[in-house]
Amino acid sequence: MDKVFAIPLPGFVDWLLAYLGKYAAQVLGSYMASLILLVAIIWLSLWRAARTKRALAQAEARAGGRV
Amino acid sequence: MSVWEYANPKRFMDTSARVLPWLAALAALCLITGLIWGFFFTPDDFRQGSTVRIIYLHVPAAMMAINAWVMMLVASLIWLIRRHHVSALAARAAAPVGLTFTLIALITGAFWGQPMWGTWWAWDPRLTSFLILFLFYLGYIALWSAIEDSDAAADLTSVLCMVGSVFALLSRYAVNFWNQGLHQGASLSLDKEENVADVFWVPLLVCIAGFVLLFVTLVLIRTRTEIRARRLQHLLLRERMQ
Repeated sequence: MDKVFAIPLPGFVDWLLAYLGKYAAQVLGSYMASLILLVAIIWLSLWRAARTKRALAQAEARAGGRV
Repeated sequence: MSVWEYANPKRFMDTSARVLPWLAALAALCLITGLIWGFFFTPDDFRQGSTVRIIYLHVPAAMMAINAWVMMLVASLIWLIRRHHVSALAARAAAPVGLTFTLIALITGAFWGQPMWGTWWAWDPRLTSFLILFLFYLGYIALWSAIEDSDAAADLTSVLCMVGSVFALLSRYAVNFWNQGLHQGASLSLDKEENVADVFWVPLLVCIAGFVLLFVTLVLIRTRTEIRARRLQHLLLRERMQ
């Protein structure tokens, strides 16, 4: 049963560290920092887009046919 | 049909709404394919070991950091010459994306430089001009936020953009101009002899395509947001006046 539910993540991390060798910290650091920044800019752009769209829809509804 | 028709916000919103899903999907496909291919299916470099995998982030991010500023320059010039609001808003929308790419290039460069050059940072011509470009991005974004009158903000940021273009160009050609420092010359060139080996080059091209598409996608999303924000500002102003 233990084998069935065993998460392969630690095995993958060990494999990854061995795969990247002595520069694993630098390579993984680069990828993690970049992915965090990319996800942040994508999320911020989508979040602001949704917020502005909602606020505009409310303002247009309030204005009715006056604009 | 003239390209200037897209200066009409309504036309821009309609067209961008149609192309955005395709662009986003293509960007995701290229980025995921290129990064997985480069990270897992390319060998170590004989001299740089596994750090060569940083190339798939560093080079596209650095390229786009400079190209984003060039795009902002073109949009700023269009604003100054033809006074199309969409172009000014597109320049504003591109700045945070360019800033992010510049930061990625600086961080990945530091991670790459530490094992290869023995230092995280050096006051090398290319690194220094890139840092100044980063500061210009910050200044550009701050200037847009600091001025309430949007037309005046667009005018002043356009001038700042033209000044900053000197550093965008310097970042690109610093190695050629000064021929000194730690940074090597171009990794990609139309001259085949200067290119990295094909095994790295092909996934790198896919990553570059991914970064270009991601940039275009984000700029379109953010320009649409800026257009809506301006309309919202206009409506709120009317509400206050009534």
